[in-house]
Amino acid sequence: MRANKLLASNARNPWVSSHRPIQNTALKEQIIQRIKEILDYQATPNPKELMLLSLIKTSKLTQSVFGLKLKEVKSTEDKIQEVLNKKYDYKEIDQSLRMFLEEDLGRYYEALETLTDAIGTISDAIADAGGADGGDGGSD
Amino acid sequence: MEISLPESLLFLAIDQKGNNLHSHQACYLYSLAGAVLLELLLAKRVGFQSDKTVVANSDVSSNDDILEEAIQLCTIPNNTIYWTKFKKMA
Repeated sequence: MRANKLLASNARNPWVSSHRPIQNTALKEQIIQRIKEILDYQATPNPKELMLLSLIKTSKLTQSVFGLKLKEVKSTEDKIQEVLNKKYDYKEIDQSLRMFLEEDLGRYYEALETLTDAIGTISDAIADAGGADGGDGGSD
Repeated sequence: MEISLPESLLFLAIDQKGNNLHSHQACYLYSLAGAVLLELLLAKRVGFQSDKTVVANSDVSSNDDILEEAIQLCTIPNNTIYWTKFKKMA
């Protein structure tokens, strides 16, 4: 099955596509191997690979892509940023695109993280309140 | 096989069994749309004006259904924030 078909069926709603699994381990491993070589400076990235690196970082995929422990994520993301900083002089990458990658997209994720944290906090607070009510027999 | 940026991102985003996403689904709303925009830019199908308005170039075409669908959406000039935030093209 062509990758495009997979994308067409999954990209619109990939999170509801558990009945349409994507299984192309070899291709995935090939992509990951190439990324690792780039991060180790064994390969020179092309613009598309640079963009993929940036998208991995902004999509919070660093840990899963490289199979890292949580404490290793920061240093790997720093390494990605180091490569991006070094190679962002590709002429093909428009100045505004850089802004898009580094500012706009980043800002969305910051907002998303803040929102996620807030939801987590509220959820915890509700759980605590429920526990306190149960334990105290209610304060009303 | 030459695979596109959104395809690469999708491959990386899905676990080994091919069933679930590694990260929260909301992370991909923007990044997949961004990946489509970036792919279009690399293919010179869109350009950016100084105010980050995305301008479509319909003179060339590709065999990629997703990109073709996206380029149709981009015929109305708008900025990158609009396309990633509101259209969720991917």
